[in-house]
Amino acid sequence: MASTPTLPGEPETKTVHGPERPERPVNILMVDDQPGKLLSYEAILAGLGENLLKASSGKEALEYLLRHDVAVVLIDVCMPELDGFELASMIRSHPRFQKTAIILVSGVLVEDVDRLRGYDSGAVDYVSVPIVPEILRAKVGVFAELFRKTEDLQLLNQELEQRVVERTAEIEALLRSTEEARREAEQANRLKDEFLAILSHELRTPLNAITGWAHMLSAGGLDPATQVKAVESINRNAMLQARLIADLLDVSRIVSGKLRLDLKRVELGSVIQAAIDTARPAAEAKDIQLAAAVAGDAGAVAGDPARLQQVVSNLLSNAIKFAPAGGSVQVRVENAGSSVELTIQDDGPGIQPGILPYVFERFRQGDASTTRAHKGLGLGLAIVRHLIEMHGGTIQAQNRRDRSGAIFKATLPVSDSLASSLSGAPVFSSEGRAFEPSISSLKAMRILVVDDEADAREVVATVLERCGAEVMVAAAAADALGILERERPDVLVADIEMPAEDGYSLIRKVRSLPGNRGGDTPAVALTAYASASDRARLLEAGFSRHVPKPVQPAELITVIGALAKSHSAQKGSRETI
Amino acid sequence: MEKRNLHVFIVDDFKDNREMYAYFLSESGFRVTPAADGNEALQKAAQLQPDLIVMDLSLPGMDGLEAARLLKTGESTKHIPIVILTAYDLVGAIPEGCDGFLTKPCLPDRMISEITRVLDRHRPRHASPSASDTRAADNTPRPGLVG
Repeated sequence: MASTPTLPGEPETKTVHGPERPERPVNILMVDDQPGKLLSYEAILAGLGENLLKASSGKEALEYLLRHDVAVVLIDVCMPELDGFELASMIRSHPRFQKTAIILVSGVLVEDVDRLRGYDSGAVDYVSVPIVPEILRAKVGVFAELFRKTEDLQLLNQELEQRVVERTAEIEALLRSTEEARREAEQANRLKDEFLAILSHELRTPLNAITGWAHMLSAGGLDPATQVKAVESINRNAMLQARLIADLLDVSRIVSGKLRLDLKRVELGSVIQAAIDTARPAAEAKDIQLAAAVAGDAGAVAGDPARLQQVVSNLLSNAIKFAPAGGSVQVRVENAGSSVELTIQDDGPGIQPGILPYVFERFRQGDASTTRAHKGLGLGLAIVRHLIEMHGGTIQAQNRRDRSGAIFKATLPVSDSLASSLSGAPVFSSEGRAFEPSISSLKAMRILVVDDEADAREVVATVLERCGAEVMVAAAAADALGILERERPDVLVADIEMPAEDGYSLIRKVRSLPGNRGGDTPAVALTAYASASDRARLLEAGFSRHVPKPVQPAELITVIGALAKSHSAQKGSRETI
Repeated sequence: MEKRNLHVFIVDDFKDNREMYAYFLSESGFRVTPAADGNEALQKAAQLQPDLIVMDLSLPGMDGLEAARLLKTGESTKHIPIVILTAYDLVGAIPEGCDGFLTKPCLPDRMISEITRVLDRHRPRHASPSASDTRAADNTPRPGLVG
């Protein structure tokens, strides 16, 4: 076995690749002032496959030990300067070398070795001269293995500790989130209780004026002027209650997913004018200036005009509520590319930063105490957000920068993007059904749409065309019958409530035609009346399916697709017979 | 009881209710001063010394309870009986220091009977000015003072 010369100050490292080389060789340091003896140790221990290091003095050995982890130190007792015992006791007394085993090579000074053992429980052993190679190899091997096992154990220990730390953190996080969920539930519960208290208060307050005046009216004796005043007050408060109840029902519909939109092409200008006209008395009562600026190029949106007016009205009454007496409320409508932007700003105190994230939440009000200066149920803005979102838009609340006051900014997609938004059902229904009809789901299908209302007809036609269908339209039942016979569409889509001749009459006439003239064309009824008896009547009259109005595009497409498929399958099977 | 010249405050921020009660009470022979909030009530009470104050609880700024507390601790107003009027559910707990309690919806007749009841309890003060001299020493219920 060739050995490289030892460099001064740096013991030679020699790795021997024996047949049973351990996976993780450890360092064995051999210390002897006689190079020959070092060589013979090396020869004996080479078979272990560990890293063998040589040091020719105690000093050199210490220097090495300070820089490296050593499993076993093999020390010749008889060395000049620092002898083996001194070196061994220095190593032993140092906490850093606790894991390091010491093997002394000596004569038979057993008592001294025993004395050294007293320093520590760490391994100290000896081999006597003359060395029996097997014994030396066995001892070094055992200590090397012990070192490795100890290291493994420490590693395992560390891993375990780490896992305990991680697990504890997980459990703590879980506890925190549970606690958070509990707090949220409690908060929701508290808000509901508060809401109920406010609700009863808000309903009783106008009721009080109604019952009071009604009582006086029925008792008689009011002079004519007071009678007028009494009736006015009763009307006003009954309306106020009706509004509260309508808001409550709207929220209930929104929550249960039953709110539907009657979509039309809507110019926001007219909606805003109507809302402003309604809000004017309240504004005048507080001497508030109402100003509206509608840009000519703002563009139309696809929406339910009544619901959009409700949005503007709610925002306006909110602004009027918070604007100071003599203040001003501004409404602005502008085009912002593919959307129309509606801005309503007031010069009131603005929204408290803590409330800002919650202004659109149900049952939330800036102040639920008895001193609250602002009445109402706190549902108006929640309704606004839901309605805007159902229209495919967004709404934000912020505070003015130029002065105190709040700004509400809603964006609605312009009517040009109507078609694209029509393909997604959630835009139209608060049910938010996760359904995206594929663009080509009605590919090459020929569909006849009959509706007397141009807007409704256009919406349905756009939806169907977007899905690849070829669409024919008719504005009246009589026209429809002619087109049906002439063009033989795959499916008939007919509105039920039509003047002159309704959908029932149309379908009876269609069904009286022979099959080769379109008499068996599958037909879908569109109707706002969708009770069970209505449905039965529709099917009896000859419609294959019905779709409730306002039409949800996804529903209509699904129904037509399924209908056409089953019809062609029937036809196919008839033809093969 | 003789209502003539009895002066009653109606404190309510809801105008329709304030006006309705004010009308009925004045038709029934009371002198009525309306007030829309607690501050106005405090100011006018010290100045006008009404015989009774009907106080709504839900008021902007200072609520009715706070206004009542200030009235009952104010040297010039603490003798004025207060009837609380509220649309909240207070489950019958008459706020401390208040003399009467009404829940909305409250018919004007009901309000008058409560006002009358409370004023009757306080009548000795109005009937004989000298009663105030003995009041402090006299802790026994007077005849006619119904609980």
